[in-house]
Amino acid sequence: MLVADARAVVVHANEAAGLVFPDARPGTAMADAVPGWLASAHARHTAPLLPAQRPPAGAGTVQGAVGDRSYEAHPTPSDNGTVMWWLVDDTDHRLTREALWTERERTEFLVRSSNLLLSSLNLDRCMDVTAQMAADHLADAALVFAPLHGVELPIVSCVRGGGPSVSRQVVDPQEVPGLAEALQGFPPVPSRWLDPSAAPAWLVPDGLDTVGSIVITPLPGHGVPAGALVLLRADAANAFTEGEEVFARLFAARAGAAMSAARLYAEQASITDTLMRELLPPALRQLSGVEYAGGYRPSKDHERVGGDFYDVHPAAADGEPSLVVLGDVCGKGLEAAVMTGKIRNTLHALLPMADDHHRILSLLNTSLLNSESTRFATIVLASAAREGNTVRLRLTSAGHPAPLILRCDGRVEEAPTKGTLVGALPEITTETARVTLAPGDTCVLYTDGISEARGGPMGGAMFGEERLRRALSECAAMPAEAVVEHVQMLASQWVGSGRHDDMAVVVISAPRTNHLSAVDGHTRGRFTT
Amino acid sequence: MTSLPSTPLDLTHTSSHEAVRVELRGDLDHLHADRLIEAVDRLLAAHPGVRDLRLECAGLSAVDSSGLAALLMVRRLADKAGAGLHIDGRTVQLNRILEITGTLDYLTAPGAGTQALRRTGGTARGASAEEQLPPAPSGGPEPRT
Repeated sequence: MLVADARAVVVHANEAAGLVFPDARPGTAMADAVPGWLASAHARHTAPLLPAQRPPAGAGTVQGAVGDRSYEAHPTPSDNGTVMWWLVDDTDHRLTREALWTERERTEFLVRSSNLLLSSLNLDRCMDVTAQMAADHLADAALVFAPLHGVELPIVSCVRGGGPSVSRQVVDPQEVPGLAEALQGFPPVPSRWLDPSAAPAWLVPDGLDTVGSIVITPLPGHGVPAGALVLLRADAANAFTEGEEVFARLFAARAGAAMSAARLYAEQASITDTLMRELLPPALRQLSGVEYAGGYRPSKDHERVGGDFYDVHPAAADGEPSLVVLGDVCGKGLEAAVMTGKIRNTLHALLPMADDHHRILSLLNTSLLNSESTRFATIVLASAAREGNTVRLRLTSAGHPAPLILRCDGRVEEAPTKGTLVGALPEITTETARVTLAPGDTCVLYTDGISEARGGPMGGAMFGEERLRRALSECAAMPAEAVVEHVQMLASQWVGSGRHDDMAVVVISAPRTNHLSAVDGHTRGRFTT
Repeated sequence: MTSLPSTPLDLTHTSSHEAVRVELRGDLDHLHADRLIEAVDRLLAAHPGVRDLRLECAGLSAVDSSGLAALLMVRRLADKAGAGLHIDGRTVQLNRILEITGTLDYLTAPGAGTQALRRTGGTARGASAEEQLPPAPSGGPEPRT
């Protein structure tokens, strides 16, 4: 406690005040005894003002440093013009408050960086964001390294206030102590300091003239190496504190998680793309005097690989039948795509026994069976061979909707074939139908994505087999491609903009021709109308 | 149309010592099919020696290919546990998908699946489940859970 009068002379200082202000003895001027912040506060309280203009009692608390500690001073003015100052040491309080602010700012920064990083599954973007945020908030400049890409090291560097710059450099990470270990991702290594003079030139980004301190922090991924973060400060005096280093690690953990997620996603997307290319339906044409056409409209669902597929395997020799396969694999996504690939390859290998549909399907069934899963496929096989001006068909459904036969007068019949699906039951049964297509007749193989398409005027109705039959009867005597177009168009209109399953259609037609001599398997037969 | 929302699959079951009955309501589709497999797996494990597994399907609104795959897996689980599978209250749509895919007989045959699967080594087991069956206990029905 310290009392001073209106002339700013110390009147009394108790023992505690004497310890804080050794010069504060009665008779000393305030300006000589106490720091400036307290002296000027005292002057404000004793200024010759009307009592109403003076700060009211209890107000006017001031704060300031005394040596390396900080104090609050609470004034209590009395009527005779003296002011009694109560001094309270608030150093710890202030330090706690400052720590809280720092912590809040850091939390806010981490949340912001998480939001920015997680809003993108693009690896390049993640690296850009990491470099820029680190440069703006953690250091004067930052470099983000992704694991070696062949012999090139992908680097994104950013100087505070600037934009990220991307480069790929053929450099050896071993030149920087700790960098190669950090890039390997496992085992986890702590961040480490680097002597700035030991840093190779490529570690210092353009725009940073001097390097005072460098710290290398690994970016931990989920079991996969995500990369490393290098933070640089220009001023050696302003080195990284322990707290800042911990904070940098917290940031690195988030950046590493985002970068490894982006990398995994990129890998998966690339696998999916590869599979998709492999699974694209083939372009169909006329083969050995039989017309083929196919259409495939994949589901717009986010799962990009669908479960429908078709193939046409041309006959090995003239006069033998070609084999058409149309199938639908249960489910979607990569597992379905893998099963589709397996089925297509197996059937391709089994082509030499294409004259026995049941045998092919049984062997396929056995090769797909496994004890963990009942994922299955439904398939329809069609062997088609030209005979005179007709086409002879053998059709076998393995758990698939039976093919529809469209006669040239508009009648629609269902091929009498049925059987069990493949891939889930220990044994399968099949019944093969033999159908002869007269010139102008058409056989339509389709997946349930068409017959079970939901939509229509009210939204929820199923396209249905009846509607499909009616649609087909309008296609009497149309060429194969036109039939495919028509069916696809109607089904697409039916679902409108709604969600739909994969839709696949394959049409086999006996060309309407009276010029058999023109049909040699390579040129298209001419039509009579 | 906007995409049709899937109705969540609702499963309730009652069980006695010899029979487990599961009532299915909602969609048995790719979003929910796994739940049926998990539920049946759990029930069969909790009731060893059960003779009959009954699925009451009258409340099913839609069944897709994943739903059918789940039923096929349920059949395998029932075979493994030595229980017969009964699919009751089949809707028109369920019957249609079972008929087209040729799975109706397999799914509902009394024990036929067990025999066939064993022959092809579809599941790895020692002695047949029937032989391991304890004498049928005569306990009353347990409270609904």
